[in-house]
Amino acid sequence: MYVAVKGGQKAISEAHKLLDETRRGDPSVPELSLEQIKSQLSLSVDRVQAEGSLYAPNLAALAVKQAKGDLVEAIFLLRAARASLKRFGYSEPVETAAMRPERRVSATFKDIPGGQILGPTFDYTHRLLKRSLMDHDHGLETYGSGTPSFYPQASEPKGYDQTEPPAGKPTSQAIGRATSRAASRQNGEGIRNFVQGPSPNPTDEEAPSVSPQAPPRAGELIGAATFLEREGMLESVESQSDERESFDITRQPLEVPLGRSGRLQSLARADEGFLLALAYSSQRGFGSVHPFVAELRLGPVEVEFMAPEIGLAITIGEIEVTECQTANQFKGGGGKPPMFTRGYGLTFGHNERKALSMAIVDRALRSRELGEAIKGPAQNEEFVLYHGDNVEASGFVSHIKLPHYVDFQAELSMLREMRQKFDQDRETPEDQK
Amino acid sequence: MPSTEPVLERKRLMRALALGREDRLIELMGQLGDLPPFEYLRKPQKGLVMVKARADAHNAPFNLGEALATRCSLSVNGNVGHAYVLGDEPTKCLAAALADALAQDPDYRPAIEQIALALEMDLARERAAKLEKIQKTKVEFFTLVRGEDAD
Repeated sequence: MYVAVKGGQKAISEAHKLLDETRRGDPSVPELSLEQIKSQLSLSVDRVQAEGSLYAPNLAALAVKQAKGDLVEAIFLLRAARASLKRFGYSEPVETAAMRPERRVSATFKDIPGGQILGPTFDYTHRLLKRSLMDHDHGLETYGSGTPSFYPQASEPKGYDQTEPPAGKPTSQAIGRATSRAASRQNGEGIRNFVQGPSPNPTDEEAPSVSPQAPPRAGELIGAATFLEREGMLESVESQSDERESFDITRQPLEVPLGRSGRLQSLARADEGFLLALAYSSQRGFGSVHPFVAELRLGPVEVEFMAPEIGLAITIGEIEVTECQTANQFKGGGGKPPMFTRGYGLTFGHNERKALSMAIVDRALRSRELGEAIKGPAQNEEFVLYHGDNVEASGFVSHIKLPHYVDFQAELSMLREMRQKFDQDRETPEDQK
Repeated sequence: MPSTEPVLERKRLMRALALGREDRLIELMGQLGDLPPFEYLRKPQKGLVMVKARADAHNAPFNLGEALATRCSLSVNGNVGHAYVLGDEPTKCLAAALADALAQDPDYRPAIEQIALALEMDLARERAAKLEKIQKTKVEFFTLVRGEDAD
């Protein structure tokens, strides 16, 4: 049993003051604004919204700032904020088919209607640090350039390596490149090409020209998955609508077995790292899921809400979402023919790794339904759904650092008694037992 | 059909008001001149809308997560206006509810429709500008035949 402690108020309030001070950091450095966080650390904000299960970019940016960039702490803050708000109701299901995609790729078909759009992606970058993004790029070219300005009396330093060319000149090819790069800093394109290599699809005359007056893209985007489904090689969606009402884990206790709606809601707010590890384990063989990405898309969708006082479903705004549909090989069974089966991932904001992992884990959790052998943790519903929430997980793990003096004393005295008995038993000669 | 029949449906008006930019909406409303007084039925109030989505994009619905929203209701000359907008947006929500109430008054209807059309134009321009950038990242992949194993 946990026994609480009292006291410590003064130290606690001083600790919080110190926290505020360290959060602010060096006061000579300008304070971060929420706009800066929203626009320049947008993927942090998106992760906090997805796992905080609340679409509110301003509040998520505030949470990131308040948590000093600790995203799991920020997610906790956002969950706490949502708990204080009244719920107006449920939206109409958002139509991702009507999304205006900002990114849309398929690993199964190279030609999908509407085309593949790379959008703002880290894919195909060389993962080299971009010195042009540094606040103060001292520039490699200054190395070995002679007398430092803060030491005016110094004589020309002599390098240990006598073969080095005279100071003040580039000493290697690398520095030479860096110098020319620094010189072309004005020319952003030059830097980009140097750091990332030529873009996979350079902007050229063949790029489709769009007049500014062009109407917004409308109508249903035919997804890559639709093709497979029409051919009968992907299970049809109607074949697995098992629930009449969607489960709401914020209103009903989570119990297994859980239908797909409750599972998807739970996975949509589960920890990205947890889902990533599970998806990885499944791909490596602790499970059976190693799918193809039929389609991954990112973009805004409009949210419609049926307000009873208006009597119409009206658009109340737009949210950005990432959607991932996977196709996974299925050898057949349970009356179903060999075909590809589906996994689905959807998250608030731009969260590709999360959406992809979610789709893999969603499919892994369909193992029982599809009559597959349960071989890995990713296929174990109870394991996945009860351990994926990082607010619960971090609360339960972290609580053990709070005072447990009474519990500890109780265990200590119990162990002392046991030890005493153990020692006595050992001292007693065998024949007297 | 009577000549007073609204050109734009209420649904379309409300969409334009919700998706339009707050500063633009307020600027356009400001150009209407003196407006009749209004009475709050529900002051702008923050709350949550549980956003639903569909499994596999078009299968059974599930609850994706909540979104912060603001709502407001008021009356102008007996016409009741409502607004729901995403985000913590009390001013925008008030302006949208006022526009919704005024749109029910034949004297103001054409002006509100003009505002909605202007907001839609802004939106189309913004989206087209974005689309132009996005389209430049459209990619063509080619499959390569591997080594000597071909045929």
